[in-house]
Order: sequence, then structure tokens, then C-alpha cells
Amino acid sequence: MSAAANLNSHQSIAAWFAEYGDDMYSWANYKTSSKETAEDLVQDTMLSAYKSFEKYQAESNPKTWLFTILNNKIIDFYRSSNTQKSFNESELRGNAVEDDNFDNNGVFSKVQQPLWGNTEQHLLDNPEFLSVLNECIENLPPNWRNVMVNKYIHHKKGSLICKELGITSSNLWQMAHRAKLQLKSCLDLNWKTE
Amino acid sequence: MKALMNMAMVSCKQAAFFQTKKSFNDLSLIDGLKLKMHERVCGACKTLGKDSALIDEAVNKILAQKNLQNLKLSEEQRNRILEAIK
Repeated sequence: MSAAANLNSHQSIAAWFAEYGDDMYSWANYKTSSKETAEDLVQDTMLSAYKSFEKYQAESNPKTWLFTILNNKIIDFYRSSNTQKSFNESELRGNAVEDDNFDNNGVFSKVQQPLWGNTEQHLLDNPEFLSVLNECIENLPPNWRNVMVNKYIHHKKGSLICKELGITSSNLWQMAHRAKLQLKSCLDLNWKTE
Repeated sequence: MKALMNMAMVSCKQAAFFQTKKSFNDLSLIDGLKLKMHERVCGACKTLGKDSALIDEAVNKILAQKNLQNLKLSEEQRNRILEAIK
């Protein structure tokens, strides 16, 4: 790229970022349920857009172009989140969660207090409860959170999620199961009915 | 009969796992029956099952709300990203 073209591309990218940055950030947060990840993804997207600026065709809509790149980044993020390292980490945490909930015979090691009595609808409309649960979701290990997000926002069947995340179905069950136990423990700890 | 009973008995740990599978609509008929039998005699698992269903619903609601959320990057975040693409 010549110096003039370079300047031009940089100005365009910066202008697009100013205009669409928040939209991209909101979308990435919706797809990953993690503000931190969302910010990284937006940054990666802008960087890729800058590097491949010559591929952008002037007549196309910049927002569409940026979102195509962003969506590819989101897919990459999901695929790469299942490395051996992250798997080992979540395995350790998973064992801890299970040990925390069950004894050696597979019996609950503590009394199960219901989160609610007969007030379910009330709880679902309770912004405080939802905000505590949201915190809990954001604090899940990334792999587990990905499984949850893929299940709930895309209403995908187990087999499809496995394919997209590149994991086996027994991994999926285990992660989903542990995520659920972790959310329950997190609510038990942080949500007080009084 | 005893062998049959043994087959039908699952631990709480197993039952909780079945509950998760159930929420993905992926629980086999046999395992579904085992879970039902277990929940009938085990109050703790029944409680967890209810909680688990409600957590499902609540997570669903939270994630749906995120779709409508308009987040704004802070000045600090904007500067960080602009710095990275310089």
C-alpha cells in the first residue's frame, strides 16, 4: 500500500469503528456472553479489516463487511476455545464442582435448599435475581459458557453444538452439567431470598 | 426383581446428569424412567430438578435480553482498540 492509500484506509477504518463499534461490541457480547471477549473480538475484527482493506469493495456496505469478519472471528473463537490447555483447566474446575456437590457415593454432600418456593414467575421477573445470575454466567469458565450460550441463543441440538465447538457429545454433557451445577452453587451463594 | 431394581437405581450424581440431558431434549426413554423413579423417592433431586428448570428459563431470558441490549464501548476501550489498529 502506498502512503496515501495507507492513510486513506486507516481513516476509513477509524471512521467505521466510530460508527459501528458499539453495534459490533453489543453483538459480540450477545454471542459470547463475555464483555471481555467481545472487546477482543471487536479489536481483532478492526485489525483484520485494516489489513485486508484492499479486499473491501467500495460499493458494498461497510457494516455488512465488518460484521462478516466479526462473525468469522466469533466462529474462530469458539473453535479455538477447546484447546487441550483450556480443556485441562475446565476439567480441574469440573472435578472441584462435582466434589463440592457430591460425596464418593454420588449422594449430595449438602442439603439442597430450593432457590424459591412457589414464586417462580416472580423470580423470573426479578431484575436483581437476573442480574445475579448474569454475573454467574459471566464467571463460568469460557468453555462451559460457550456450551450454554450455544444452547440457549441458538436453540441448537446437542449434536450440532458438538460439531461447531469441535467436542464429543460426552464432553458436551459433562460441560453443560457442570455449568449447571456451578450456576446453582453460585446462586446459592450469592442470591439471598430475604 | 432385585436385578431390575438395581438397574433402576441411580445415584444423585447420575440423576443430576440426566436432568441436564433432559434439558437438551436428549435423554433416552430408559434414563428418563430412571430419573423419574429417582426423583419420586429423593427430595433433594426433585428440588434440584425444579431449580435446574428455572435456571434454564432464566438463562434463556437473560440471553434473549442481551440481544436487545445496546452496549457502548467506553472511551478507554475505544482508545485501546484504536491504539491496536494504528
